[in-house]
Amino acid sequence: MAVPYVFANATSAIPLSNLDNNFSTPITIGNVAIQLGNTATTLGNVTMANVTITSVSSPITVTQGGTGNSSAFTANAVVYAPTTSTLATGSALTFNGTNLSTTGTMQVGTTLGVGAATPSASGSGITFPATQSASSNVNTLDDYETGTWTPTLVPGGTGFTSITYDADTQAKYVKIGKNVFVQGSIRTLAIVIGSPTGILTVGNFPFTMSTSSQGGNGTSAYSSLSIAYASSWGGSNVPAGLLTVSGSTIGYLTTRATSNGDFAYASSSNVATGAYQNTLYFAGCYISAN
Amino acid sequence: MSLTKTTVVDQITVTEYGVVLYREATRIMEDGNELSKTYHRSSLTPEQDLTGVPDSVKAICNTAWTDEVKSAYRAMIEANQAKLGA
Repeated sequence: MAVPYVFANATSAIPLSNLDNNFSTPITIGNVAIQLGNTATTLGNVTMANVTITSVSSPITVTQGGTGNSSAFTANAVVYAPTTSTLATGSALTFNGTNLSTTGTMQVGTTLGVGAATPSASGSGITFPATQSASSNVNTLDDYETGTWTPTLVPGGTGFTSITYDADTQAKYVKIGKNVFVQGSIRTLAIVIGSPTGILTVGNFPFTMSTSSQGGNGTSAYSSLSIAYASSWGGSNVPAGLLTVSGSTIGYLTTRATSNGDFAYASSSNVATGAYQNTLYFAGCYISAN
Repeated sequence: MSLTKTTVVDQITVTEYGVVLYREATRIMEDGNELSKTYHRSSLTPEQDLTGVPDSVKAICNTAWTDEVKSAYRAMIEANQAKLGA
C-alpha cells in the first residue's frame, strides 16, 4: 500500500510498518527538507499565519545568520534590525537596547519616572527621584520638589533668650532644578530678648544657597527676600531682606535709613516682645548649591 | 482597609560649616500602598538649641559640631557680617 505524501489525502490508516520506507524521503516545508526523528532541521522561507506559541519557558531568540539585515523581523510595523540592534517603527522611533529615541514627538499617557523614581500614580507629569541625582550638564533638568519649612526669626550672633511663634509662622518651597522659590509668614507670640548680637535674620531655609548665585563673586552670593507686608515691629519696620550664603542660606533683614534712603541692617532692637507682633509676609528666590 | 500615617527623617545633609539640613517625609499609606507624601525641611546651625529635633538628626549634629566646626562657623558669620558692613 502506497502512502500518500499529502497526508490530507490519505483515505485509510497508514500502518507503521510502511512509514519507515515511505518517510525515508524527506518532506519539504518551504524550501527546506525536513528530517524526521531527532535530526535538528532549520526552516526557511516559511510564512505562518495565526500562530500561537504557548508555554514558552525560555526566551525566543533571533540570531543573525546571513549578511546585512537578513534576520530582521517585522511585527505590526515594528522592525528589528540586527545589524544595528535597533527596534524601529517606521523611521521615527528607535530602541538600541539602552536608549529609546524618536525624530518625532513622544507621548506618555500619565507619568514618566526618571532615574530611580517610580512614576507617580496620580496626575500626569515627570517624577524625579526623591533624592536628587545632580547632573553637571547645563541643559539638564535634574530635580523637582515641593514642601514646607518653618521660618525662624533669629539674631545672627547670640540668640534671644526665648522666642515663641504664632501658628501662622509657616512657609512653603518649590525647587525646580537649582532654583528655589520660597514664600511664607512669621508672627511672634512672645520674645524674651536677653543679650542678642548680630543682624536680625530669617533662618531655617530649606536649601543651601550656591556661592555662585547672581550677585555673587565666587565666595559669596546675594539674592532678594521680598517683604510683602510687615507690621507690629518694635522699632523701625523691616521692608526688605537680603539672602546670602552663610554656611547654608540666611536672610538678613533690613530697615530703611531715613537720612539718605539707604537700607540698614535690622537688629534685635527692631523687634517687639508682645503677642502677635513682628509680622512678616515674604517671598524670595535663590539658586541652590545643587 | 487600613490607613497609616508615618513621618520619618529621610535625608540629612551637613554643609562645609556644619549647618545640618534635614528633610522629614510624611506618608499616608493604605494597605501598604502610598497614597500621598509631603516633605518638611529644616536647617540647624552649629550650637543651635536641639529641643524637639528628631533623635537621628541630633546624633548627626552632636557628631558634626566639634569645637573646631563651631569656631569656624562663628568666624564665618562674623566675617560675613563685617563684609556686609553690619
